[in-house]
Amino acid sequence: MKVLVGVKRVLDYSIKVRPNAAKTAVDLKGAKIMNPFCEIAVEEAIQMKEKKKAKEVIAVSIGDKTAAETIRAALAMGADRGIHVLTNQRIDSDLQPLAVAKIFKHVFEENKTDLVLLGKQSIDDDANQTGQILAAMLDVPQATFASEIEFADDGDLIVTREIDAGLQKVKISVPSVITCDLRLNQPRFAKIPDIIKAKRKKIQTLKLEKLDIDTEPRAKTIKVDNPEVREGGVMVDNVDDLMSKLREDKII
Amino acid sequence: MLRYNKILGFQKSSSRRPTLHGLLKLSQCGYSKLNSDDVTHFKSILSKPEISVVEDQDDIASYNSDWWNLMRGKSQMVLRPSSTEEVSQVLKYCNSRHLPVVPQGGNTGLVGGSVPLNDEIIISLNRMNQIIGFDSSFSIVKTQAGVVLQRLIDYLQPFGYMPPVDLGARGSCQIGGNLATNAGGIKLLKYNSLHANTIGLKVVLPDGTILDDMRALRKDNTGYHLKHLFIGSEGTLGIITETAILCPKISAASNVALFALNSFDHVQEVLTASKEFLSENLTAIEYFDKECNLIMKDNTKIFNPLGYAHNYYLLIEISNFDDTSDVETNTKAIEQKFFKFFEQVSDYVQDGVIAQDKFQFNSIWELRERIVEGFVSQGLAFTYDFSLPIDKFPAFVERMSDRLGNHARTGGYGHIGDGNIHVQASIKGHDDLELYQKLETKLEPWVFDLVEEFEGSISAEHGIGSFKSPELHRNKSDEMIKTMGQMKQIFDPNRILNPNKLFQ
Repeated sequence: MKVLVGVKRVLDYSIKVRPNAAKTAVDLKGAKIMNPFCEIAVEEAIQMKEKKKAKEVIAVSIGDKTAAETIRAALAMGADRGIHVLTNQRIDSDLQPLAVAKIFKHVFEENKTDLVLLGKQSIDDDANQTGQILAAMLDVPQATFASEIEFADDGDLIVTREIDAGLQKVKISVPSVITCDLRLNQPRFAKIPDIIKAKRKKIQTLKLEKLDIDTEPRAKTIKVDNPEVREGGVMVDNVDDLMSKLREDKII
Repeated sequence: MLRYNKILGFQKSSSRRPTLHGLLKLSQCGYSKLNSDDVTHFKSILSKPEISVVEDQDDIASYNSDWWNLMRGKSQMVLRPSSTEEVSQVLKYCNSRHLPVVPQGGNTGLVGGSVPLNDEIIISLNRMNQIIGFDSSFSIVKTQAGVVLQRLIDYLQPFGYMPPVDLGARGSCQIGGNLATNAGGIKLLKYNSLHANTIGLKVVLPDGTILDDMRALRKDNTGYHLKHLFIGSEGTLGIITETAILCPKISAASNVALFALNSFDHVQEVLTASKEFLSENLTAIEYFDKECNLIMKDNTKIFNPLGYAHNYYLLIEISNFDDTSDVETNTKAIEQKFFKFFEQVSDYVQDGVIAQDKFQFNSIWELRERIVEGFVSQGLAFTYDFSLPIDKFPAFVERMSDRLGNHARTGGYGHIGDGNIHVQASIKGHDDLELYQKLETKLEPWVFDLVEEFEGSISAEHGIGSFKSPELHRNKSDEMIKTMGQMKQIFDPNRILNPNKLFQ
């Protein structure tokens, strides 16, 4: 099976996120990491390779030249090669799931893929749309929020999905799209020898503008701002004081 | 703290002293007993007596027991002053009444120095938790002594600075206590000790005299630097109420790698290489052996990405201080440094991982920082903190392991860059108190003899407290101990401050 894994480069979630000075977008200065859900997808693909269920794992990312580093991280985890779709469009806001799905459709078709593994959402836009749109465009089955993936004897996949009501098991044929949830696996640490080896693995670069895909954003961000600062509470001495304060502030 | 108490839950029924030497003949020295007049007086000199004078036994319980939950003080009262002036009033009164007291910070001490041995009054600094301010031109932060270290870390972070000291107990320990014990920790290798970084402090002497050295000028050679007497004095010469500390800048970027090795000669080669090649960028180097790794596997959910087959592990943290570049460039620079370093030491290192994000960074550090909890979960544990020649680390652990035979699991870990090893041994049989006591007589004073044989220190950073006071002579000459006694006599002639700690 040939597996395509999407990996997105995002701001490290342990950093405090700030709006830019103009309050039109997030300030992207700071350490970047692979989107944690994408990392889980990569780990799952590598485990499939180790179980001999996948023959080749291709890591795909979209973005400016720094996206290649995220692909390298996937290669260090064990992916065989990478595809970098080069663009200077902002991938956290302008390049939206519809466009991303179109790009992945292109890569899917060019590479005769059997399975696409994506993170269920990215931690910058929290859209949770790309996998679903892609499956619909490709007209293939989808299983989202996967917390377990098993292989049926007939070549189908049995995916356990985490849904509001609990866990749901679905059986899907390949080719298909699966989006990965938190409890699917624990991503491995990259071993130093593997990181060094990954430098020699191939990354194919495609220029987005040459792909003849409409990637115009359909939604426009009007304003980005910090949440309101929580004001401190006020200590009161007794119930009467509490009542009068509540009336004062027109709460009751 | 609550989390630790849960782990140690099974030890709650123990009421014995942790060591034979801990069964001190408490010289009563003509101490008075707390009476109702005293209580009335305290209520009159402390603000908000309803919270600053604690008499309820349930509330006092946690102040009376140490972090190991092995010591049980019998204090009848905890006082929680809110200012230096109040501390002064309390001590003045206790001194005149010959009432013994124990100053207490975060109560995270590991050598029985911060809880009463009898019914001494506990003076807790936990209400004095104001951060006074940060002077960014000299990077000096001024705080009251009761500020929890984690709070200080959080306060300084937006300024781009950090405290020079950091340790696993950061969520509970207080900066005053850190000073009183001259706490070491994981940052000492790069940023030096608290003696080097304390610019000023305010301390109250046992007779109530306030020594105010808080002008805190970066350079001030005007007379004896008295503050250094109190740093590391373990609350026996005075109570520190305010501190002024020099803070280093938070590095532009940092990362951590975990290496697995099989021979200790190789560990030493990597240690030497790290100081040579990483030099200014090396911000921490920590060590743990196979048994510690297995203890973590058996008792915690923290897993080692390098597995459990190797004999030794080194945690190496590198930081980049180039603030003219952005974080991404610096992060890459650090990764490059690690790769180049790995190439230098590839003959010695079997395997290694580098953290790819903050989560992995914290995971690797947790693997080292929570070893003490691992041993405690495994069973009643002996814990030692020694300075030893680095090449003797494994030999020491082996000798101790042989001594305990099949009855305990023994491991060594710690701040290898500083020559500081923590040795822990958990008894097999979990909470078998009889076995623990039997093994204890085998270990002490034998283990201290061993430290002398290896020409080390019986306490690298944890201090003396009450556990090690009989052993002080092993690292300090008679003349030095006599001189220390003379200082104690000058400052505390009535011996009311933390009696029977440090000295016998």
